Amino acid sequence: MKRFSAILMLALFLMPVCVRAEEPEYQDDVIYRIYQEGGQYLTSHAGKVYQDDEYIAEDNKLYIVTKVDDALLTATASYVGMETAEARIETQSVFGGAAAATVSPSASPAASPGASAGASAGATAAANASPNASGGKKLVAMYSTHTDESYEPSDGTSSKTKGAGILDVGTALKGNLEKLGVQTVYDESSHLPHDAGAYRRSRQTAEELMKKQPAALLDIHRDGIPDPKEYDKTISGKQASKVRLEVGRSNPNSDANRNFAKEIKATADKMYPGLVKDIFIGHGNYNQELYPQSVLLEFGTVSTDKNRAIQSTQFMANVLDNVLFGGAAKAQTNVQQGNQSAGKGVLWLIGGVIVAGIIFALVATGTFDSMKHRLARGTSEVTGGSIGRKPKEPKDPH
Amino acid sequence: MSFGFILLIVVGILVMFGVGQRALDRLRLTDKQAMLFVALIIVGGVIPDIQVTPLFAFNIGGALIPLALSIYLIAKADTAWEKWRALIAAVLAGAAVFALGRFLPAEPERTQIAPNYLYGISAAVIAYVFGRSRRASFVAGVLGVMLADTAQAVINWSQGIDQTLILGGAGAFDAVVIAGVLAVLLAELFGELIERAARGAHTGEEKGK
Repeated sequence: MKRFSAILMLALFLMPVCVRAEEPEYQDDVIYRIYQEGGQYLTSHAGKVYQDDEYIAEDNKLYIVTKVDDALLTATASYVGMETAEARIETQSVFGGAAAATVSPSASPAASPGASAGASAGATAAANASPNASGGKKLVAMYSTHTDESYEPSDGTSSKTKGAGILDVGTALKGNLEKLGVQTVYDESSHLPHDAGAYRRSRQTAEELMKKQPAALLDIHRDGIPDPKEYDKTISGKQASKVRLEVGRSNPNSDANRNFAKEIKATADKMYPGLVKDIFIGHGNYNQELYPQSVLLEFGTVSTDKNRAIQSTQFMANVLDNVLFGGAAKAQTNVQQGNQSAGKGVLWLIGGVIVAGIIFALVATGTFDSMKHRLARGTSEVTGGSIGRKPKEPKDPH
Repeated sequence: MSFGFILLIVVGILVMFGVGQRALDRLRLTDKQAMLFVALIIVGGVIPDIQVTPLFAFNIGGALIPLALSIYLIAKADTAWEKWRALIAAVLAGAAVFALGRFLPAEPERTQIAPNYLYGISAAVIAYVFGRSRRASFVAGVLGVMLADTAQAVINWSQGIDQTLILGGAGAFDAVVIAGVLAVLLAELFGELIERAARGAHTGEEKGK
């Protein structure tokens, strides 16, 4: 017994030993540079890039990563084509009521904020701004998985365990959404440390927020790439930062998440050209499997002035209000599209699980006949014999 | 619908169809008891977290029910050695989960398998290697994640970070449930494969005689 007590003590001792000093993400993170096939620089990504990752650039060109060099931290992406999404711009109709117009981002030149660019493409449905995506209330839920992320120029460091810059950005977005009449819950729960367990801890926060059935579930971040110029942008005469949208493709809601991100970009392209930098569709799930209308937003990068990121929350609030609550018909469409996309992902997953279940059953029972026998008997027993004939038990040789 | 939720439903269906019969037998549960636990985890998971103190909360479906089942399994163990084995496997799994959280890359795209599933896999491997037991696997998966979460919370508090420890906060979606269920399924799969191989070798030897 002494031996096992010693093992137990050793294991308990090992846990705290595993603790290492937290390194700032800025230094710790790997930065991949992605190039087009011709060698032109496309973008950088903080975090590993995989073959088949997709990238929708600011000009809505879709690229797919075809080659990754982990030693040089570079990747090559091939141009696939133009990515299109419908954007709905709410504008004042000539009759004084709110009207929603459907436009394609590539159909017309960009418009100034709040202008009637959408109307030029033709109004499709008059609608009021009352949403129904979250049971009749305009509700958006937000949290930050990495509650330490900060902006070096403004916060003095890239990572703060208390009073992190990203919380200021999230709070600003909440305030701007509320100014538009959108009820916003920003859960500032800490998920420290900034390690592989952070998404597991933030999953608990996301799951609690999900119960409120918000129209969207947003994870607020900042990027980790070093060059602030990639994010700095003057929008409507104000110094702001661009926003990158991240979608995890390793989740059953991936299609729905992607559509949601595309819709945000398409609307932003019309209202505030350049606000949405791009969409990165990469490996991972970022807890987006939990909710079809969830997306990760990166307001600027570690070297961005925080005030620029805060300024962008005002623009993003207008975009989100438009995308989510642009009209009753729109909100309903969002929910339906989200459900359809999520349903497709779930069907694939269930299919995969069924195949895994058959393999498992085969291993457990040994042969196909034994498996069929067991399933038939189980079905019969569970349904009281109404489904599946109960197979005869083998006769006792004695 | 999340993978964890689908996993639970699939487990429920497998239980109904008797596919996991042997695993349940080894877990000392009947089909009805297993279904009851699955239902309690799902229903308990949607109930809001129970806040015990400002720094500690737990979820009924995500922590209390799996913990109760773990305690039941330990209490039902035949020998003191089995009980110790399950507890040691749980502590080792806790250390593994903690270490995975610390040393895996922080960004999920940098890991091939989502950490939530890695915890279950590591608990299953540790528990099975250590105890060759489905019961120990479940206990190790559930308690391992809880111990790792608690250890992290203690470290955070010691550093002056007032972060609430929420055990099983994601309910049926939580790593506690995923790790426990995945651990027992993997242990069953390992166990069946190893035992079948051993039986095959044994039969072969007998035939060869």
